[in-house]
Amino acid sequence: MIGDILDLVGAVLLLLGSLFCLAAAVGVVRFPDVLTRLHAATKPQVFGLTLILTGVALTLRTWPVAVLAAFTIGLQILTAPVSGHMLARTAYRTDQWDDQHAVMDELGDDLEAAGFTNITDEEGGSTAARHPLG
Amino acid sequence: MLDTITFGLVAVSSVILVVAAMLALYRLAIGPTGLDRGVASDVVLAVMIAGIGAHAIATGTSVGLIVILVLSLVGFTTAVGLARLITGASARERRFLEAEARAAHEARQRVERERAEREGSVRERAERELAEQAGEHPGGEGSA
Repeated sequence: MIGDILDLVGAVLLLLGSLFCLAAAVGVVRFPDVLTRLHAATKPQVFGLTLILTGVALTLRTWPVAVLAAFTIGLQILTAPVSGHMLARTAYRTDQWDDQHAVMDELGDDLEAAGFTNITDEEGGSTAARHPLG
Repeated sequence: MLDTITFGLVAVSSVILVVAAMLALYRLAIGPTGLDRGVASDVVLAVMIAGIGAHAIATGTSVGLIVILVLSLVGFTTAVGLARLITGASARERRFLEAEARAAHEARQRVERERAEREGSVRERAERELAEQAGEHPGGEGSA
């Protein structure tokens, strides 16, 4: 009986993780530029994975599975922010983001104060269209 | 009873994951830049991890856990490698584009300056002629 309830809880956690994946996919399709898509896409990498692996551990109920799930979750918590940061930094440095609709750009202000001016900004258009291959 | 609900939840999760994978593959196909495709492939990888988790829950086997571990590490190295690849590959192109934009900007400024000088000289000449006409016919406007 308690095993059935744990199976049910595991399935509910799997459903929640799947909904996170669906939300990320919808956000990746509908958001306008790389940074906002990245914002949507990095959610299931940590939290969705945590939910699903917790569901797997609750369903299988053995110690090796629980340890391996905890190890995977910890590793993903360590690595996912790094990969997201690398992608966002590349998007910023190669000017492939929508700086016309950005609410604030503190790094841009600091760069201007340090003497770096992006001359393509004066044309009033994003240069993302010029990088078809990235 | 609870078994049926559990099975239904896993089935619904599978359908949701298929829809999510199709949406992410759509962005992977149309994504305008390489970074968009990288982000979309990360989402595809997350959906695959979720699908392997669904398989583990549905069948009660634990072999998928190793695959999940490997896939999460592959996703990390893919994203970091792609980011560094794009930064390195477009460094020369970015310098070229900046030089091109600077040249275009200076050319446009030069054209505008020449046009302003020309219009200025035209306006000066017109004003000078008007002043000369007014000098030749003093009080012409006042009497009309």
